[in-house]
Amino acid sequence: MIAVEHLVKRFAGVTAVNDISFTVEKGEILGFLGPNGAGKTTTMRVLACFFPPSSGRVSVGGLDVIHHSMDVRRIVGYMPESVPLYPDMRVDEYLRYRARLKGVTWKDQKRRIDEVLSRCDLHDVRRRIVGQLSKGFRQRVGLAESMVNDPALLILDEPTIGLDPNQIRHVRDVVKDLGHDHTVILSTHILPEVEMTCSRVVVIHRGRIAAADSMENFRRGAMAGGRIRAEIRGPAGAVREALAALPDVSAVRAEPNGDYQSYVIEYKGGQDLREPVFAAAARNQWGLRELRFEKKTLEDVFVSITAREE
Amino acid sequence: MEASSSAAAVAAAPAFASNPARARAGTFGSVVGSFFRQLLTLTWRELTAYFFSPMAYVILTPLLLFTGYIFFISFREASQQAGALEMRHFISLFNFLGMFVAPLLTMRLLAEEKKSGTFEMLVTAPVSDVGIVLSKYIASVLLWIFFLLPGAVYVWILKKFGANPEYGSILCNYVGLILLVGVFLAEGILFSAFTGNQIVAGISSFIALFLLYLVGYVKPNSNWAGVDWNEVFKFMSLFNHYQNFEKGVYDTRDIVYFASLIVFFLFLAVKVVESRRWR
Repeated sequence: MIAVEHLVKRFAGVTAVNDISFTVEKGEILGFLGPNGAGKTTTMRVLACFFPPSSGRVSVGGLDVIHHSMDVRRIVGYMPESVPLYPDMRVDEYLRYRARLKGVTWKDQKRRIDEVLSRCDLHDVRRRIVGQLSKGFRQRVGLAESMVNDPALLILDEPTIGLDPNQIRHVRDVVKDLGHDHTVILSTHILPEVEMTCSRVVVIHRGRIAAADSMENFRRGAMAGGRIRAEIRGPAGAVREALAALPDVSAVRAEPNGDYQSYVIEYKGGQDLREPVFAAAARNQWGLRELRFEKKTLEDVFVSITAREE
Repeated sequence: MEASSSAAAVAAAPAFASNPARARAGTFGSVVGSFFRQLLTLTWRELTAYFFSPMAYVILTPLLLFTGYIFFISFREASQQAGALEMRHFISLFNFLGMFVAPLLTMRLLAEEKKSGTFEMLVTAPVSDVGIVLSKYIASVLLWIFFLLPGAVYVWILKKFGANPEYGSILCNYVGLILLVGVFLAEGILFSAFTGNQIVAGISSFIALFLLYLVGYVKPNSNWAGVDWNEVFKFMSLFNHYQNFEKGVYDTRDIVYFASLIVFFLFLAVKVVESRRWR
């Protein structure tokens, strides 16, 4: 569906995207992960034909984004991060306008608009003026707009930013539902979001691909492991030694906390280290009053990915 | 490279046979047809936007009040002096007012889209840059013509009170007026394309219009390089090309002058819109 080969995008003096290659198959939901300014939006804008690549080849559905720009735009639905809408139009007016612009035939317009209205749960606000809608509704109108011509590829730039948890869940469901018969690319800097919706992950860092894999491999690789917090009362040196001896442990930090010591145990690998920690404490008769597993955050994943590279 | 990319396109085509937009693209006729359909959609959106926002009313109201008052005064004066009120003097009032109205009509057109980000939505839709600029231009010209329509009332009043308006000449005046302000509007769209700030777009396009107006008063009295520079500056001034229309004469030179300026400004505006591709 998408083939990106050695994509480079330069702006006056700045290289926003530097030699990126990846492919996306039909029906996949690809998560674009990266900190702000990593080049996610730039890559998406190239795919949406907002501007052409400085060099490299990018094709969508076998069509080159430079030579067949119009044809690519017909099969792509794009929602920019800021979800720009015309505030003076009504929801259904806006959708009809965009449907016409995207070449939906007169015959299909009503059916298509009804479908996206119900998909995004917008029927109640269809006659409301866009400028008076809340952020969550505007986001959904933007999502409905991007789907109005039933595009083969959907590009969503930060689709859940600024939404409340309920709305996030709703958008996530819509995207998952779309994945059955569409290809979706979405960017985010929230790790659990990718984990829940995407089938593939591309991590971009400073304009380069830092990691690209299927979700399962990503989960097993970069996201595996984590951090355990434990508060243990015992001889500091011996405790630290015992903890460091546990399998896959990469670092142990300690901080005094009254009678106790707060330990942070970083480890790689898939298994849960809480029981071995408990066993070690029990064996040595050390007091244990807290034992907590913390999932890796996006920051940790980045650190581990970029550290591995350098 | 070229051959392989088109082969890929052919191979991919059946996959999108279910997509009506993709299936319809292809023949020359359907491409032209879809261009005009889109132009209509875009123009309609621009026109309705003028009336959804208070813009159209805010400009139209003082324009009508002011010109109505001027008409009333000159009508009274003419009747007191038993002279005939000439419609052309009244109409030529509008070409000066157009210099203020045109930047107000056009400053929003592209600047606002850029500022609010809807520009990104517009250019990632399957719409050509020419279509975007042209639709905005057509909408602004149609709005200007709409502003002029109430002028028909004055012609009717003149007729009612016994004057004998020359319809052909009046029409010629209006054609000239629409062409002249048509240039103002094209120039305004160019300035609106440059910036994301409406106020900057409006003021700079007004200043440029004012310079085009002043150029008619430049008289260097020089014969440098065997050219009468007074004539050159006179030719460059927009308003001098309006004078023949005022007399009721259609002169091809004036029509070509206005039309080429309109095309020139719109062409530049399209290039500025395109510039995101190579910047």
